[in-house]
Formats: sequence, C-alpha cells, structure tokens
Amino acid sequence: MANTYTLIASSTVGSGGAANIEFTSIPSTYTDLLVKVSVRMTSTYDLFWIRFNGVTTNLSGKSLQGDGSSVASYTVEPYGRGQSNTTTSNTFSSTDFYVPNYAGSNYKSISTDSVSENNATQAYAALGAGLWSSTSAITSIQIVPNGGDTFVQYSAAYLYGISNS
Amino acid sequence: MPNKLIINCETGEQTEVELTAEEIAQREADAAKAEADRVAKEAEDAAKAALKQEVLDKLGLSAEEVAALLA
Amino acid sequence: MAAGATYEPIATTTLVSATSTFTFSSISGSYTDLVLVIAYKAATTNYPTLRLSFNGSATGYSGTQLYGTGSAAGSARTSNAAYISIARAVGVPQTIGNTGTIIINLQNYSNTTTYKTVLARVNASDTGTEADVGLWQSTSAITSISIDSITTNDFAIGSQFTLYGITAA
Repeated sequence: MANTYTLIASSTVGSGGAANIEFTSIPSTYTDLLVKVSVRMTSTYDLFWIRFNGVTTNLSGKSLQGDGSSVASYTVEPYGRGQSNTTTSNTFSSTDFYVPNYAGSNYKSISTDSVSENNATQAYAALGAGLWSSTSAITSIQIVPNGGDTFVQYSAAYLYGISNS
Repeated sequence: MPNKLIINCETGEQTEVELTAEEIAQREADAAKAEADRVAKEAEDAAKAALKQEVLDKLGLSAEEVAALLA
Repeated sequence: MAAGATYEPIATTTLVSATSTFTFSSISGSYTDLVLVIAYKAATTNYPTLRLSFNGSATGYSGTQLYGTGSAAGSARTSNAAYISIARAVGVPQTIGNTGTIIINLQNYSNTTTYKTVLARVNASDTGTEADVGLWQSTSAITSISIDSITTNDFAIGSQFTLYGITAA
C-alpha cells in the first residue's frame, strides 16, 4: 500500500523578512494538500490570508474564534492567526489549511485550524471553513499578511501532498 | 521593502523576488484598509461598551450580578 | 532508525450517483488510528446532520458539538444516542454544487479494551465551521464505519470518501 503525506516543499523566512510566501508549480499528482504555517509578524497585525493561483476573488468563509475571554463567529475569507509584534517574544503561531481535491474541477473547500498562544492575556484559537469558488486546479498558493505587514525571520511554511491511492 | 519569498515546488528552489509596483500599491491599500477596519472596530467596541454600561446603570446592577442572573 | 510507512490510504470512492449513506466495511485492524476525509459536494439545500456509526450498531453513542455560523457561536450535545452527530448545526454546504470538508479522526480504533472516541472537523463556507467530539461506548474493534445524511441523497456526484490508516510504529 502506498505511503502518503509527502512533503512537497518548505520555506523559511530569512533575515530580511518576507512580504508574503508563495508556493508555485504545485504538481497535480496528489489528492489533497495540507499547508502548515508558522509565522510572526513585523507589526501589530496578527492575521494572514491564504489565496490560490494569485486570485483574490471568489473566496468566502466562516470562522469560530476564541480569544481567552470570549468566543465569536465571523463571516470572513479563510485566514490564519499570526503572532503580532506585541506578543511574547520568540512565539510563532501555528496554522493548518487542508484542501481536498485541489486539482479537481469542483470548487475548493478549505478547512482551517489556527492558534496563536503566547502565554499572555490574549491569544487566539480559530476554526475556519472556507471556499474558493473556482473550478481551476490549484497550482500556486500565497500566504499573505494582513494590512501589508511582513513575516519576520524564522517564519515558515510547509506544503504536503496527500494521495488517496 | 521586503521581498516576497517564492518556492518552486518542481525544483524546491526558494528565491526572494522584489515586489512589483502593483503589489506594492496593493500592500499599501491593504494597510490603509486594515487601519480603517481597526479604527472602525475600536469605535464599535467602545459604543457597545458604553451601551452596556448604560443598561447596567438603568438596572442598578454590576456586570458580575448580571452574569450571575444569566448563568 | 528510519520511520516505517504511515498514513496509508486504505480505500477511496468518488460518487457516480447521489447517495445518502456511505460505508467502509472490513476495515483492517493493523493500523493504530484512522482518518476519514470526505470531500463533500452538496446535491441538495438540506445541509443535513450526518450520522456516524460503527459496526452496524445503533446504541451507546454520545457527543458534543462546537460551532460557528459566521455570526454566532454555539454548542450542543447528545447523549444515549443511536449515532454520533456530525455537522449537527453547520458544516456541510447548503448551496447546491458547493463543497465542504469533513475530517474524522478515530484514535486507537482497533483495540478491544477501551471505548472509542472520535474527533471531527466539518467545514462549509456557506453554513459554518463545527468541531465535534463523539464517544461510542463499546470495547469492540471498529471494523466498519457508516456515515449517512439525515435527509435523502445529499452527497452529490463527485463527493469523495477516503479512509487512511496511521501506524504508530
């Protein structure tokens, strides 16, 4: 039986920081994709977006988010939590985006689990349901900080392919 | 201005690429929108807090007392 | 020492006709955990609760759900039920043709000592996101998994069901 859950590509941000992280030329040979992201931001923004094939439209979603004292649900495009520069130093957030059938002709569903714990008064745990209403195969993925922010050094992203046969 | 980090999944190569003028303009627009959203949310949160306190004052109760009632 | 193969695909099916029920049977007991991934495509506007059950049993199930609708958060639970509720409030698409993701984790599914627990995530951008935990009060090894929708033929053509096995060593 085939082994699956294969690392396709990885990236780590260098000393100059990164305006965004982009995986290109994604092969169509897997069934599902899993993007694992660990980031810290340069400024006070603490959120980043995931986009596909360089397209910023036809993205939709809903999230459920707790911050340590309250819980709320939002109608918002798929996002992950990032660690802002006001959080405990040397802490980086952790996010999984799971995209099944990324190379098929159905719309692309995105399942998100994201946390930004930093042993302080406020941190976030977020669950997300997303949709990219496109029939195109995903060939590239962009991880983009909110508000024109920047990812700091040692932020990282990993792209895994999962095959169902 | 930081570069964008591109990872080619065919070769595994990671390169830093300068942003285009359009991408820079988009980042600046994103920054302006994010700041506007933050200001709007702060105003909304302040308005909610003020309304909540107004109601508590009318009831003559503290927030803890209301929480105990609703528990 | 190099790790052995893990996270193996056991079986997969892509629907060629709409259905209400899907079952994986004769599941090998040689793995440690199971992961069921469903790429759900909506054939109807029902966005139904999905019923998860094991080995054809209709007793001994309970569960808790945590969900967000995009404007409100909530939680619910069931006890002494005939199935574990998945997507009880939200999490499967309501718009025909839209897709959603269901990931169901079954830890230690083949042991004959403990009750069986389930962790599930269900997501659809037009209804919401839900996390479900479930318990089957049985020490039987899980050899079959059934998932069915509470209404008719909600799984559209093109919906895909894949069962993976994870080996601890």
